[in-house]
Amino acid sequence: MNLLFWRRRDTNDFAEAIRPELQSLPTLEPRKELLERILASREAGARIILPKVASQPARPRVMLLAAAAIAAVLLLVVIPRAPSTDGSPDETWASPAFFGTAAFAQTTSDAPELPPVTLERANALRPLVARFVRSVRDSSGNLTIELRRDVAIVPAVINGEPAWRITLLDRDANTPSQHNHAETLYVARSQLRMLQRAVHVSPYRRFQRINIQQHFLGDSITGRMTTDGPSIGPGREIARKLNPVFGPYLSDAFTSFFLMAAPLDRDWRGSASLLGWAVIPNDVFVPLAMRVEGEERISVPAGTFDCWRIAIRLGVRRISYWARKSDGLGVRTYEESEASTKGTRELVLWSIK
Amino acid sequence: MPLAKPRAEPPIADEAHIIAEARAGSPAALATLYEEHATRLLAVAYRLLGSRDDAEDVVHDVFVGLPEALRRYEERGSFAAWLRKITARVALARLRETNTRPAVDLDEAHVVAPMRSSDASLTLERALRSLSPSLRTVLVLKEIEGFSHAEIAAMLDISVGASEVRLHRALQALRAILKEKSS
Repeated sequence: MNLLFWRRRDTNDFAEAIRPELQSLPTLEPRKELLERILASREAGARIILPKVASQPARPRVMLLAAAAIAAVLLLVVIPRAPSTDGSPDETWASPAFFGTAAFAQTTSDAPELPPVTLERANALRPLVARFVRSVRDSSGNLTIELRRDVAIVPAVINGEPAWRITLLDRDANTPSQHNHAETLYVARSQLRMLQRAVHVSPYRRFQRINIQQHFLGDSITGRMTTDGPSIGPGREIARKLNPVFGPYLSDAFTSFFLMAAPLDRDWRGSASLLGWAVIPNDVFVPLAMRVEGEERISVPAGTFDCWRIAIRLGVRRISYWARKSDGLGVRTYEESEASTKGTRELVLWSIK
Repeated sequence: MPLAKPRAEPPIADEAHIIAEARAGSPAALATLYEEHATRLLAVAYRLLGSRDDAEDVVHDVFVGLPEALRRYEERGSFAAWLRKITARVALARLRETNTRPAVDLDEAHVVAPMRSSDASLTLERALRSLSPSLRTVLVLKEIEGFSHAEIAAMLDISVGASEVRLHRALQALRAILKEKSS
């Protein structure tokens, strides 16, 4: 190598001359354990959001816009060892799940205590429309309706795969036009595995609306969170691992229906996990432990039904859930262990079409 | 100079298949992509960060995030170039995050010995490392990695003109250092 390039008068000539020398500088070989470390990180559930780059060189203007987006994304890189990057205290991006606020409810046990729910009767699901109301009984015994929930199951096809589209719309009973929570969930018709999910909540904290898009592939959940009014631009990427040990996974929209596919009997018990928004590390999922604890005939506005009474443990919360014996449809939930509620919660089937 | 041998590009159909498998989360496919590209990506990260540990952390992060990133990959152009650009961006983010000063942090005995560099390349390596991070970054991205000034400007959030000026200054500084060493 000739290092007398400084004799070149022109910097461009110097650049031409030094370039091949720079490009042929020796390189390091990765240490042997690096691949093992990568695979171990993946296995442990680590997911890192990489910056977006175009597959081909982009035009300068596009590149400038991309740089702004990438800079924002880089600030939001989700790395397990640095969870503090996930949000400021007033912007927690957590889901109001399972008929009430469950933000930060995620537990971190190594494995569920009960065997996973087997959804072996997937063909038991069928198109239906239902309405539920949630009531709160205060300390003086007065019952107040605080939420109306409309849910529907219709056939659909996603990427050529037969699916069910499950839609949910929660509206505040007192201000129905101002507060609502909508979810659209696609599950594979054959195994009821989640395929795609979209959630919109309005308003959400200081935003007019928050939007969550999730896609499920293998053991991973990916997607994006954005807001409207004001927009936070490209939003936040979602990339998490769903540990198969805690499956099957279900979302809020599916909670009233998933036991239609389970072989319920008086000895039945099982575990599943309720999915959060997965924007922050402790809102990915909450394990559910469920046991049949009795048989009851209950009356709700839609009628009188013979039901399995199922005890559900959700972190520190205890929920009673009544599933119709005839088809497993959830017709009532009842919770009184959450101190933040004014009294008790009651979910009542109002009509089925 | 004992350089890492250039690897033959895999057949496109094979690469597409491996990418599809990796996208679906296959550890074996991810390992195949690693074997194919890791050395080159480590070089990119190392040139920018000047530390083997930091560079390996960048390669780790790139491959840990790769299956999800592949879902956005449009399969236009070269996969290797796409991967290299991502690696450069992750390395630059790390550089900004840690305010790394490789000229101070590098342990030459650790870094140089395994590379068995010749005296000339060692001199050039040291000269490169003695540049300020802002100048070295542009020099590495332009002259070694072959990015355009527009791409560099986008990566560093500077104007194209600023990228050109930094490259000019980097070349002048490098020339001055080599001149001094040779005399």
